[in-house]
Amino acid sequence: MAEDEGSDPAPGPARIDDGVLRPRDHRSVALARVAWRITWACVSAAAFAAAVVVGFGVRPAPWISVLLWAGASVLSLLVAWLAHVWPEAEHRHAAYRVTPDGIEIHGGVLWRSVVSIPRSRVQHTDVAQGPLQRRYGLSTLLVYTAGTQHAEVDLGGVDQTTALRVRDHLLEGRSGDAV
Amino acid sequence: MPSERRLHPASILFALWQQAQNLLLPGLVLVLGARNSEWGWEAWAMLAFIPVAAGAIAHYLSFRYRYDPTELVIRSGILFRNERHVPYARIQNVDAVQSLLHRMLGVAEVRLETGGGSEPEAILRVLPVEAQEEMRRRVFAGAARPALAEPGSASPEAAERVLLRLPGRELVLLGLIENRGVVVLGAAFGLLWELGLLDRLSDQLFGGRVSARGVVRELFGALFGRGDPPFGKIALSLAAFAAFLLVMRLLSVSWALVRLHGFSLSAAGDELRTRFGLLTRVSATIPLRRIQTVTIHEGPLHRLFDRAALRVQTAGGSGEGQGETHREWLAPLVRRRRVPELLRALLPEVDLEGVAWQPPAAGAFRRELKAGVVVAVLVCLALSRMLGAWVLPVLVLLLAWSGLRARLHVGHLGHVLTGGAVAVRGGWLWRETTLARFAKIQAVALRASPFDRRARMASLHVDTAGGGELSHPVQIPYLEIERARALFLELSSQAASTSFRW
Repeated sequence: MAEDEGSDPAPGPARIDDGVLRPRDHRSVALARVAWRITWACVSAAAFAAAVVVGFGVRPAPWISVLLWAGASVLSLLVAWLAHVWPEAEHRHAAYRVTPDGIEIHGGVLWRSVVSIPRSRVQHTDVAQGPLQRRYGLSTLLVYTAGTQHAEVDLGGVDQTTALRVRDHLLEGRSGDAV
Repeated sequence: MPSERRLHPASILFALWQQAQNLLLPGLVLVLGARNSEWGWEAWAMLAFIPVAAGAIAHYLSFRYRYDPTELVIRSGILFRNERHVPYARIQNVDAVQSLLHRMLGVAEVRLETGGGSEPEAILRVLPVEAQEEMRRRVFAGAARPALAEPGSASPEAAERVLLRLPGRELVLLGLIENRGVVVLGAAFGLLWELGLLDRLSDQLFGGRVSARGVVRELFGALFGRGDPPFGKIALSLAAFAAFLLVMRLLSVSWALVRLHGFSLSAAGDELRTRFGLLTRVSATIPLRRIQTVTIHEGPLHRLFDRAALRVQTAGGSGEGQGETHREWLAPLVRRRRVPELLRALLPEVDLEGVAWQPPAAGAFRRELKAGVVVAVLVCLALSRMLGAWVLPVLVLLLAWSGLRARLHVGHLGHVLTGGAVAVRGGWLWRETTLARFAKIQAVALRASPFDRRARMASLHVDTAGGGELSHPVQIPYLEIERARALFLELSSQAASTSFRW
């Protein structure tokens, strides 16, 4: 899009569309840990409950009970380990870059991806905040395109003001009859 | 204030007919299935037809549409009034469907499609044929107005030029190639099932003693040394199977002859028109600039007969179900040497002839082979108990197969940027080539799986509007990471520098 960028009335010290690869807010790690801990609690409770029910209800051979308890413990430990490691890893690979032309969103730990959306293809946007996110001052920017696979692309774990700035940049200077 | 128009009075009839169709099957089941003449609630449910009829009349009486300078305004409803504004510039297609009954009354069902959703934006059921023609003209004249500055947009009513016609011979060939017999058979089967006639039919046909039943089981029994191989039964089953295939193909041919009778594709100004159908006549209009992607299909049978099929994706509709039969088939069957000519009509700036297809990365074959070998070994391990000593020859066969498959698969992968579009090709038995113009790219994604990263590769995905689940995705696998990054940046900036219009 050949649009005059001109003077930017947006608040803040620097422009957001400087093409610098920015990490997501580090508070998103803490937030993700909370979610992971809830998962861990549920998984552990279910695993041990199963071990208790089978162990005392069915009364199988002792080695099966031992195996059950061991399995539950291993599962619980594994999820606990993931809860510790995964959010950090996720944060390490999650980033975004805003350029005058559009936005680039990096993500994924094992399966990595970079999605680039030109500004001219943005149909509309949402800035969403869940209750947990609100506590951490974070929000998710949702960008909608007319595409199919990437009809909805989200940029999570950024603070509210940044999300709003990115949104304003993506929508600024759009004429009504662009589509 | 432009004058308001109404639907054709026959609309009431068609609204009733449509509702009747919904009630027809239950009604038939009722009549046929009522063995002990016990008329339960189902009979009373038929009374629901009365409000339906009242609704149909109310719909006709309240339905109005008018052409405003930039949009089509449709008003309907008596109790709950509804006024819908559809800007001309958003309308993707104007399709007209005429069943036999429609044609007898000189009317058509008109569907307007816009970019969003899988449902048509508006269905006008039904309009006189002249009104449908007028709608098409007005909608696309209105849509073309802001685009007049663009080069190549001629006057909307330019002379119509026929690009493709399918005579009966081609339709027979099409029926043979595209195995649509399943569609016909499926419909018939569904009807029989619905009517509960299937059980009776099979009892009468086979007398409850199907002679070929269990032939596979017996064959396996024989293989593992239990009993003699049932040669007679095998021959019978094979003959039945062959007959079945033949019937399917015949059904498919008849389907093609009826459904696509008199198929013609023509270009007029900057829009394409397709018309086809013996009983139900369909005419669809596709403005050229609404085409999102173009796909060339070449199956094994296509290549045997030196033919190809051309499909386009427009942003309207999901590309499945009803929409598919209306628009996707730009050229259901065309001689391969005529494909470039058709492509030129669709995307004038793109020329695929003599283009230098970029191959995938050098390691692509090895990765594809490895995946095949892993699968082959796993399959053999899983079956080792059952196969016994046979496991070795099976493994060798599977390995040879995966090697051949990997070679052919990787050999046919290719991509190229040409004339303001990205083209990808893939598949070796069922070959597909898809083109997407830069201006139609919605998003570009670079992805790397753990395997990709190990081999320092990545894949590139180009997202466009209107790509259905079944359509050939525009993606380039097995790219060297540097090349993938360069392509990613190139395509992103190309997409950003063009403005997207629906």
